[in-house]
Amino acid sequence: MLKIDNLHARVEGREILKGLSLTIGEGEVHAIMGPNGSGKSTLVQVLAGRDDYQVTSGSVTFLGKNLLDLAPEERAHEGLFLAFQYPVEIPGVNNTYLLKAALNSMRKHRGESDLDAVEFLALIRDKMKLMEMDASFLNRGVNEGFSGGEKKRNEILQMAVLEPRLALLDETDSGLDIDALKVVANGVNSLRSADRSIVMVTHYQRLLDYIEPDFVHVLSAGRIIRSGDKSLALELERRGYDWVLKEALEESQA
Amino acid sequence: MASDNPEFEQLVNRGYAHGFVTDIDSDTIPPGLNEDVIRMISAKKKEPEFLLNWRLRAYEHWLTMKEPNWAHLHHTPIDYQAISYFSAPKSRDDAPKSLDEVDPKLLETYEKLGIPLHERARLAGVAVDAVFDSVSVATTFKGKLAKAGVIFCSFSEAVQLHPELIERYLGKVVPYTDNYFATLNSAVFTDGSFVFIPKGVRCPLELSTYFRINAANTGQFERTLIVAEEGSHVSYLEGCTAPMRDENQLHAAVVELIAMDDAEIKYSTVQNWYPGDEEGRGGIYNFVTKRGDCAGRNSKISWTQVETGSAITWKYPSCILRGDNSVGEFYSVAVTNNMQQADTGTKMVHIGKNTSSTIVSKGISAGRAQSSYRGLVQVMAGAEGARNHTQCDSLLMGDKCGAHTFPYIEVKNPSARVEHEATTSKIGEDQLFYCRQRGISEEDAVNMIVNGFCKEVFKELPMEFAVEAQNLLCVSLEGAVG
Amino acid sequence: MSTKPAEALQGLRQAFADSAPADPVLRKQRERALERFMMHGFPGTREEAWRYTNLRNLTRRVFVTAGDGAISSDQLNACRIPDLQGHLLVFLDGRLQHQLSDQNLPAGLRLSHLEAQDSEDSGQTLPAFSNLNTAFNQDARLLQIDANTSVEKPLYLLFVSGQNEQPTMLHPRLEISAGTNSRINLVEHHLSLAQDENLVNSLIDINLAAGARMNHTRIQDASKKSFQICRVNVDQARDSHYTHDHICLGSALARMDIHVSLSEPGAEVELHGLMLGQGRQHMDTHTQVDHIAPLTQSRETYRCVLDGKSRGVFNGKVVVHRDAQKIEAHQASNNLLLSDQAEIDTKPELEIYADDVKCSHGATVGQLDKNALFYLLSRGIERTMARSLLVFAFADEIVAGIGEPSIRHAMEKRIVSQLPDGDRLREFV
Repeated sequence: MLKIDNLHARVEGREILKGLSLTIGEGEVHAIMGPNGSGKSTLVQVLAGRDDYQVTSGSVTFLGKNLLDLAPEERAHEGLFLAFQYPVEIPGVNNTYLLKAALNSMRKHRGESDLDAVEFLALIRDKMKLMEMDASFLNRGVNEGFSGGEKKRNEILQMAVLEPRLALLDETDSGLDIDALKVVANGVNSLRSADRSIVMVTHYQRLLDYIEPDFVHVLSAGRIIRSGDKSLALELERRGYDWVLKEALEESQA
Repeated sequence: MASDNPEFEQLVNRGYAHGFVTDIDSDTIPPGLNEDVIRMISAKKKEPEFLLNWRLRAYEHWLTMKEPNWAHLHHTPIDYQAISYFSAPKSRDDAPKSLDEVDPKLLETYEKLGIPLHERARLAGVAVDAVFDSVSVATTFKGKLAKAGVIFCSFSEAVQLHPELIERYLGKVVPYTDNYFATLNSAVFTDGSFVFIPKGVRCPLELSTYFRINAANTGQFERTLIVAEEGSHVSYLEGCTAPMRDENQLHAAVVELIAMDDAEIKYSTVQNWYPGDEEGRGGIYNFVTKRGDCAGRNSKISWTQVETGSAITWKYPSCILRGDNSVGEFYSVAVTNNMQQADTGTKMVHIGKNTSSTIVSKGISAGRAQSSYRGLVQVMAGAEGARNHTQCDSLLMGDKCGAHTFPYIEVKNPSARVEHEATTSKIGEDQLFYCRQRGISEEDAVNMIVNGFCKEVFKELPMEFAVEAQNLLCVSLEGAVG
Repeated sequence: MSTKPAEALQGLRQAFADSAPADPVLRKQRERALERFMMHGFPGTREEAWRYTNLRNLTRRVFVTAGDGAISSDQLNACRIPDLQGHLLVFLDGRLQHQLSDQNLPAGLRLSHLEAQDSEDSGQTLPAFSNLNTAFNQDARLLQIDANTSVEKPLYLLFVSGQNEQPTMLHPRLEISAGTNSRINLVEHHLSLAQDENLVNSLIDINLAAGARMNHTRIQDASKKSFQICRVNVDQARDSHYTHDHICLGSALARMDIHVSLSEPGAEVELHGLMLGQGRQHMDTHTQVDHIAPLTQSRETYRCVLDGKSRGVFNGKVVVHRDAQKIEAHQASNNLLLSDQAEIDTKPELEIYADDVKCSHGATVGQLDKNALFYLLSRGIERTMARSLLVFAFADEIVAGIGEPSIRHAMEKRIVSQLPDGDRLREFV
């Protein structure tokens, strides 16, 4: 589904990704872990197409297309979804409207007709139930005055409505209490399917107790230095990051 | 911004859709201003003597005045002798008795403007008084209004039919000595609208006027007077357009509102005069004096304006809060692009006890435009318990435009509570990216965000106008505001 | 536009004739400044910058230039801020008093005579009072802080007006040049020995080189009959930082103009001020911050508490020049009216010609928070004291921001002493 090959990227003149390679197959759930500043957030921003991140070399293929050639909205149309770490507030723009505009632009891309208001409302109410969200949410501005937990739930709600092929979850667990975390994880799990892949970026293993990954990768200084199954995450939780970093350093020197 | 957002450029650079000229015979007096011109205007309109004298006093006073230069505006000097002060469609001589008699070309003009007189009026339940150049052409729904006791007619008609009301109220809120442009208007105004809502009446329709400047080298000097007696209520809408012309045209209107005890006047404007071209050639100079007198207890005057047109806008719809517990409101969206300049805002003068005012101003600047908010909140010594809240936000698009804020706050009463907040920022890159990540095109995302930015103002507009306003901002509105 | 009261202007000419220097070049320069002043006279209320401040009372007086005053060491000690451990420079009636001042300034800090340049030559029009200062200043000084010098203890400039028979005018002039990466805390303290009707017209030019940091605390506690006009011009180079705290307590009429130019990227300025007006005092602060370079920041917080028939004026102007992208400018003006006859006029202005900016300003006018007052009353605190406590808390937001503890304490005490029931309040503070 997604193939990242030797990706280098800079932000404000500083190189953050330094030759990152990663392949994600259909239906797989990957967790990318790593200490602060290792490049986790940069990776997802680059994949989503943020302007201020400059790709200097390497390639990214998504469903057979060169992802780096596409504008952010085109990437979204192809089925790439980013659940933001800090979802932005857009005052005065109604939540429902944003969702509807987003969904209809996806449908248009797929050659489908617009959903009418009734169909749309039925769809969204269904998904809101899943995310345990209050109906009043529909009438509020996008993320306007939302608590941290509400914002994260809103992100997963959008994911549920837009049904992406590849979802990137950027620190989705941060700022969530345990109940909210369960709701969010439940939402994500219900969206797991054979043709949908998920990449979770997280600092802590906590999220992985609720959303079980097939693969775990450790990112450090802009590269993946170790990959394994979920037991790697548990080991990181127990022993911290230092030992992997040390081992990786030794390997590179050897 | 300008370079990395071509969609927006395209959006704001859309052609001016209302720039056509109607080809009809008009009765225009030669350019120039002197006492004879004023006498001629007055004679043409068969005015009573008190009005002619008032005009002449205004003219005499105007000669002693200087054009103001304090606003944050730049323009070449206006040659007041090059303007024609009266232009009426010729067919006016035998005035239409009903819509059927109105010159079909005129009706066509309104069609092009998107205001089909009968259609729109019937469907929306709006009574329209259309002012074409300087005279009122047709007023619809007179019957229904008359039944309710409401007077809604052109100013000229009111002078003939209700001279006592005109004499009583004209110039009471904006005296002929008020300011340069208002004084000029007092001397030469040609028509406008008059509304009188008698005691206890809730006007059954939204009243509406469309203004259009058609003839070349003319100025438009209309005057609107709205009187709401005790306990009455009226909502009045005004829309403006003008054809594309290379030279600048002057529009110097005066609007006076009077609200008695418990009366409420809601005055909404969508102003889309021709803004000039990208180089700043042509366009309307829109120098307007609008003031409301909350004369009575518990009275309320609310101004809502969406200003997208004009080369230069100079207007400060104001409220004099004389009555105890009276309420003044000002909601404004001002969009400037290319070489447009706007210096607009409001004055809230708190005189009565427990008076309150709200100001919400949203300025959007693009291209090389300059947009200024200028406001005065004044709390007089006797205005016990006065309250004001002002929110004043500017959105910048492009690095060659400017956005300025000049709020004056003068408080002489210790029980007053005045709050002013202002922010200026460019359109949020994070917000744009968020929308695009959700698959929404950049153009739509800009529309959505700009519309959201203006939402507080749009929700104050009557429904049909809100639609038009949002269309004017080139925004697909469905659901985004509501 | 302006006012030209014949008697006052004649008085100025007389004073000039009595005091002008013998040196022909200098004299010429000063004459030119005086003529420029005479041409326009005193600013009038028709001028936007003076619309709320009428100089009528000032222009009715005829001021003479100062003679040689005297101050006893007891008087001096009574003036000083207790516990302020700093390098003291005492100016009496505008003249530096060597014998009362610290003899040895720390290394890297140099004080010299300033031959005040006539900056009109640069082609710009100068404010009226700047011209007046150029025509009359006595003992103008240049203060230089060498590059990479950190002056540990504050430099304490004490300006005292002595006892004069007639209304006297003083025109202190100071130029401060802070070298690259230098650090200094400057305290400027204005006082009067008597309840005189003097005019003090200060002009201070400050240049901060790259990376320089300056904290400038100004306390104006002069005679309540005096006229205090002050202009501070600040020019900031790359990554420099200027903080200004102004506590305005004294004078019949105080007018402060601060103009800061953020000329290079990374420059930051913080302006804070408190005006406490009583009786018929008139206090006016005008700030202007020019964001000329990108990536510059400004923050302004001004508070005004007005009692009696006093009047406060705040005009804060922020100008963001073309291409000054990625700047931040925030401004707050909060005002408290305590009496029916007090008046506040505030005008926070923004002029913005760049697009990638974050600017905000806020202004509030109000009275004491009723809930807070009620809370205190319900705790058994009597009304007068409860009010004083809340007024103090409002004012202290500014005072608490002063870095130097001894000044903070002195100002807190000073403010408390001015409030009803102040003596009893002291234990709360």
